[in-house]
Amino acid sequence: MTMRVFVNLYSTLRLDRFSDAEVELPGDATVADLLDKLQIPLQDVGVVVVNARSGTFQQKLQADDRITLIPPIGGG
Amino acid sequence: MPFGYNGKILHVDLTNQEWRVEEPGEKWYRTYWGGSAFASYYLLKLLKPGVDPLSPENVLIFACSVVTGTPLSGWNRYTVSAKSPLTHAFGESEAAGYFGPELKFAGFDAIVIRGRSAKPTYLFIKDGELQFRDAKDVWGLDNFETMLRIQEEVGDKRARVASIGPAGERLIRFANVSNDVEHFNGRTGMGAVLGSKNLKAVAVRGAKRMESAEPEKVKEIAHWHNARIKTHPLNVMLTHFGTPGIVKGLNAAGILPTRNFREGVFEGADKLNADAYAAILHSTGTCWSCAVKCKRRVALDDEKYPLNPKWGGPEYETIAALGSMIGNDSLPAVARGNQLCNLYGMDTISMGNLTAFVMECFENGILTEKDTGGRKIQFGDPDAMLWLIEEVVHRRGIGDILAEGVKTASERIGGGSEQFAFTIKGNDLPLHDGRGKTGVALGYALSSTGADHVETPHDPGFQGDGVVNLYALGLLDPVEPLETDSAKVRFFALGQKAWGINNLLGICNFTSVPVHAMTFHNLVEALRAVTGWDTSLYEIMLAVERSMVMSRIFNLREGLGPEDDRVIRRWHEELPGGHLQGQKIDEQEFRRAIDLFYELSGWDRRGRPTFGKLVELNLEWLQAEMP
Ligand code: SF4
Repeated sequence: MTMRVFVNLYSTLRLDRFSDAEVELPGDATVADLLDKLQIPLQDVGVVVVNARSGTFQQKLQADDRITLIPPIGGG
Repeated sequence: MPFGYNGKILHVDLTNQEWRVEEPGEKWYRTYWGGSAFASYYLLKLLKPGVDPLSPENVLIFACSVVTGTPLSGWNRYTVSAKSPLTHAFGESEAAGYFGPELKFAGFDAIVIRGRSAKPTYLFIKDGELQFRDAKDVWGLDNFETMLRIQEEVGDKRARVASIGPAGERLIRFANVSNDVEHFNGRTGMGAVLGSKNLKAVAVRGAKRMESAEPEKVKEIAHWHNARIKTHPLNVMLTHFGTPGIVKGLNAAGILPTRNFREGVFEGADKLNADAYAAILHSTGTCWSCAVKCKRRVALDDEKYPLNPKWGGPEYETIAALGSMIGNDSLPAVARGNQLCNLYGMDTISMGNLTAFVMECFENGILTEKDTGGRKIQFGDPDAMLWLIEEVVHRRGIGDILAEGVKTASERIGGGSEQFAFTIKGNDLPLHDGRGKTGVALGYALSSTGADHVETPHDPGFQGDGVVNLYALGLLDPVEPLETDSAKVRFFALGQKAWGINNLLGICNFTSVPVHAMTFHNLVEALRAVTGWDTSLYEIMLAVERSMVMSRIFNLREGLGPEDDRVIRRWHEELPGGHLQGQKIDEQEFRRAIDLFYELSGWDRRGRPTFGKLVELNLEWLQAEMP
């Protein structure tokens, strides 16, 4: 069983990728699995949002989820 | 009985070697809450405008908050504050580590220090008592030796020591305060204020622990928080890579400050990033009760750049300051410069800015080998940076002028050097380029301490759905990182106060709202559970604004005005390459944004909080202080 999710990438994550896309994933996929599929290393992601809520790497995804990924270019 | 805090402020008179304890009462604590507000309160009450920051009249404050020392990740920071010898305005710098909680355990929420000791002294505070101790055997020692010697002298290896090194003793204007040679109150020259008071260190030790009104609830939230830290993206990044983890992203985004903010892309960034760091990484470390463990220790058996794991590892700010800012791609050299600054007690952000300034002056023939006894100071030469550190700390040759900080040094050097001296309110810039994050630019312009990167939202994280992290404050529109329009001012005003919560309460940003593993809801729940107060996000945000307005009034009283709320000339010029090539901040638009911020904040056109604002914040007593 696969499912479709909608992905938005921001800033430098778009380079050589896309800004919006539909992505097919196995039915039990997590955010980390999505990053794996897009070949985005974990350390290149600072903010994860799933359906307008702050998300985490281990979070399980559902069909039609909307995921936003932003790189860590904050400060400290 | 107070929960979370002691209800005791320690007042120390160094001139007469006397001390007393003030108990200001619950209402005072609930009005001011912590760190910067405690500090502003005493600076406004005890200091007259115009005082020389290095004179005995200056007042020096170490302050925790009502909740410092609660066992939640990151609730461990403390403030050191005074009138700044670097900016001649409100001075303040926070540090994490272990000193803050230990001060609370020793029985005090803050220390207010006045006067000047006739001879070198340090304070030892233990279980509610204070000893003035002779510092003759530690004066002149570096921060590491000072810590060890004081722990030995007081007979307690677990005493926590906040100290100055030779830089503070010699009144270097950007000298810092160190604890454990790993955590630093780095900014605004607080170490020089200790030096001017003949105060080498404050050591603390206490047996008590802070009590919460609802300890089970605090435990429950701590459990949830620590679990979330393990899976929250930014916290996972910090645990695995520490702050060096952002070098790569900033460079790719074209905003890694390079060669005195001239460029935003550094060709040697790959040698400075988290992957490169692995070659010098010795171990990781943490602060009191923190599950993030973002601290890095470094080691290298090398003749030229030897590194000792006990002298601290560079964080992002230092990597950029002593790396890309000066065109240096040697991470071991960065780490060596960092360790020298740590031992001597100098702020690495200022030292990097200063080095870049000298390098650009050299490039333009404003400074030459004649000024440096034959030493060339060129971008890309790490040994020039290490050489400058020594000249400055020993106040040798040109180092004596540079020890006064970039702004004063450029005024003395003249010859057009001012055009390469980039400070805001006299403070050197933390390593973020406002051209790619205009909210940060507003923060730099408007902070009472001058350019400050932890008082401000970093815009890119709030693009698109990223803005969900500010929904709880009513900000619903995605943020455009490059705009300076009214939407940006609204975002900045809210974001600045969100960051301000952490500053006020002494909570490490890396564990907290709005972008790390804490939520606004659980933060407020935790504050309620600790203090037993029926508080709310609204009350906390008001306290944050109160704190900001107080430090603003301190600065107005010192003669600062709207012309000081600005960014550097270079940011009004286009970025020459990279992802954001051509990007600049329009000067007029930016001024309009500042004016709009005044209006939104209830400040007049001269940037002065109106009487109505003072009434809202319960600060009528400051009307009389308004210039
Ligand atoms: S996140 Fe890092 S700096 Fe902050 S308290 Fe934890 S270990 Fe210290």
